[in-house]
Amino acid sequence: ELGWISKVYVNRPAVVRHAEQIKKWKTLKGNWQAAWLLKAVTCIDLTTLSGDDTPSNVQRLCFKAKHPIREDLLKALDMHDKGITVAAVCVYSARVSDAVDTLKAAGCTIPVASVAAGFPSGQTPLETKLAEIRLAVEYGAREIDIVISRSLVLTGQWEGLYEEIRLCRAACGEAHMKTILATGELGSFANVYKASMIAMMAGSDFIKTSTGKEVENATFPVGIVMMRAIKEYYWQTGYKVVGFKPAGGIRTAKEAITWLMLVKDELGVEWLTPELFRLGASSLLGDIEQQIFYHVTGSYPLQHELAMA
Amino acid sequence: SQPLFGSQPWGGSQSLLGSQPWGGGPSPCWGPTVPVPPPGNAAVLVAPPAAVLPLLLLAELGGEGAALPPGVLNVLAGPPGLPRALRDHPGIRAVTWIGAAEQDDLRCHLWGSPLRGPRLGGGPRGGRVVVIVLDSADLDSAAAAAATLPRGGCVLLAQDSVAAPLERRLRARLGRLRLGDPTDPRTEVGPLAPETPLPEELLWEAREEGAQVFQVPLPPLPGRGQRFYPPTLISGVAPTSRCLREPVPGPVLVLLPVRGPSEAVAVASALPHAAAAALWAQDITVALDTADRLPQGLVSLNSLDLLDPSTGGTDLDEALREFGCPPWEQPPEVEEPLSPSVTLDDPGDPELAQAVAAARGAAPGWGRLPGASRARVLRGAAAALPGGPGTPEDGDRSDTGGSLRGALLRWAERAERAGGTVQEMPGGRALLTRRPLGVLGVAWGWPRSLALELLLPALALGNAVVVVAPSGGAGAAQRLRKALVAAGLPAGALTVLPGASRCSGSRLARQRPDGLWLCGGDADCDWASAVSVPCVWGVPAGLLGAPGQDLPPGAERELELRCTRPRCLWLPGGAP
Repeated sequence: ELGWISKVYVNRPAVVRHAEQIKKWKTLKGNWQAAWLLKAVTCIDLTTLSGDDTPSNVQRLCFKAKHPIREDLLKALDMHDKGITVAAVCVYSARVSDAVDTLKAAGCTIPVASVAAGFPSGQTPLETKLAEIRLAVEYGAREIDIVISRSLVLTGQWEGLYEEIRLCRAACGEAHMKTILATGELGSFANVYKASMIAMMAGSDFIKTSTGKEVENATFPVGIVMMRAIKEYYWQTGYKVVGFKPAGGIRTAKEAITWLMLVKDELGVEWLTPELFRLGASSLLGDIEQQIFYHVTGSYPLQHELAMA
Repeated sequence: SQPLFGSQPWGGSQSLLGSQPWGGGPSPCWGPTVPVPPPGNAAVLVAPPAAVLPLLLLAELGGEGAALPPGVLNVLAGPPGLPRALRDHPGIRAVTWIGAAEQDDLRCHLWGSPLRGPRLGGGPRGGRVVVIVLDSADLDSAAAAAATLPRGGCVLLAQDSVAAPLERRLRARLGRLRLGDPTDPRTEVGPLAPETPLPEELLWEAREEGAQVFQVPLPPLPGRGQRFYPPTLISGVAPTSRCLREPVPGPVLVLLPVRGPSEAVAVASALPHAAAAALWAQDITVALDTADRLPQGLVSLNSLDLLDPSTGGTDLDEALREFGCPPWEQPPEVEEPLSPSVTLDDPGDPELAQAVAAARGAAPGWGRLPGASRARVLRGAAAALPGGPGTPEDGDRSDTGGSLRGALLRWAERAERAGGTVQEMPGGRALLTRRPLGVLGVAWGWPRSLALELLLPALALGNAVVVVAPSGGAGAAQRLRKALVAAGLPAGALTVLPGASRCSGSRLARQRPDGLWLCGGDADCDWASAVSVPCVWGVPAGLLGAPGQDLPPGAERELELRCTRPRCLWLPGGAP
């Protein structure tokens, strides 16, 4: 429906100002902070996307995914039996089988998410993108994070973009698809909004801000624009809810809570579940665990006291 | 920059606050309108009980941490008789009021020369913000900004094609507002001020007229929710509806669809109590054109941040004088108490009415000319003036042709330079210009003959002037008028009427000009007539200096400020 994106206007200073106000919201303390932090943990996609990933560090990641917070800390909060795990493990497509095997051996049902379609730049031919997606699904990934071709957005080829995402969606089959928009490279907020709408129309289950490898990753203004697009899509279709995933640059527990509060403000409480909200992060889990350690014991942990991810 | 004419600090002063409380939220539009006394003065703020709460909080905070020495800021809440009693107190040197003066006790003479009596400044001002949303606007940002309920509640004019999406977004946002204790920083909507009537009657009337009213159910609140009113959106109102004519107390947004920018400008011009406007549009041509045509003095583009005057310079300060209480102005020495009101019999005044009507016809054209064209007219008149420098004409030894010629050339140059300033601030830039008032009435009551230097600034800056003066100085005035008309001044832009100076101020005021200058104690004006004129100024006797001499320093700037209205266009952008 090209008509839905033909009259998109986004005022950048107004959105930036709105985001500045969010940062001034009162910070949570005590039990409330701990509760929101645990909520954030259940929404994390624990990620490792480096050139030097090997089976050993992927295995370590999977064990951390199953037990993100130390048992005794959870027991002190009386949350040890609530099944607190992360939402997914996100790795490169070549490492998917290692992750799947490890999780199966550990008896864990956390899905493995694979990045595909020429991650991170997306500058590969469409055939190889589709082949990568099919292989990742074959290796056992239940979620696929695809990357769009930014050149299609920058040249305004909306129909081409729709077709590309639609084909990737078909290649995913039963797997759940997240579309990475790489907002840092899209040029303007209006382009971000339009690309979000096209991605949702073409069948994405989630829209994701960035690959984590760009100069500018997930910032609050860009998140606000994408969330407004999600809300508008829900209003236009009447029923379709699409999830939102900010990724890249989220390192502190305070930022994670701010993202949760922002989702609650823009989209509503219904979106605060792992089915509709994910945080793409790797070191964030460490910071959250430190904050929970502080909440339970009253002092910050030494480096060896928390398991490495 | 140049100090204003005769500014010095003085002793005790008083501020009267009118009877209409504004707003109901935790930050009810006091902001730049609180009359903060400049250094060296003590103030007594008197307010009706409905409006006094934020002032009491201010006084309390002023005392904490020894910010202000004790006795500098005093706040009194009381019955209507209190202001009058305080006003007659000998310790009070100056009086300023904000708000509407409806009560009989406040009616009094406006002195022609404020140096001889307590000056009353201010007038019914401000109150609401008008938000205009055109079809090329960022609807989400506009709804988010409007849902912060600026100044308690605002009127939204939305173009037809975007009215429905905007309404849906407003409903979603209003539903998420947080109500609570006004001193809690997280609260977004507080209780109504005491003694403010609940707006139920207005809502009932709106429903009768066919508008839709959307209200959010109240959450559990402290104090069992008394005095809390739920955020409300009234949509689909007619332009004649009462909720547009009066500011609605409480957190109420009124949404009115309009067909386009021109209709939006027409509706916004007709809204009373709206001194500020916010325009949301991404199409820059349409936005700037509409902003130009809006009559509001403070227009912001794609933003609802009302400017913080402390960050700008003196130009901004002057611009913001319009939008609330003017900054503390030089008050006069109190020598005599205010005299009781004067009742006048009211014969019809056809000559004056005709003159004012002609001026009203000439004012738009003259005002819209670029400064250079007006300068050309003034220079032409200077060349055409009969008599060389130093030759007295008809026994008018006071106003020689020479000094008048010099004044004409000076003001011609000033008219050419009348552009405005750009003030850069964090968050954007403000374009500050001054626009002519329109029709300016001058009532001359001093014993000397009419000083034509007084009229030149008003003409040079685009006003149409109607003067009522005793016949003594008429000859020079007619010569000047003839010279100006010959040089291209539209007929009606300058009229000098002979007339008795007694009560000439009232006569002029009754014709409803856009501005009124009262020169001299005889040319005074009664309160009832003065209230209907937007800008009334009692010209101080010392302003003109001795006849034939140059104007004292600061006088030119004061004259400029008094015959123009400030206009501030706020363009946000850049790093916050």
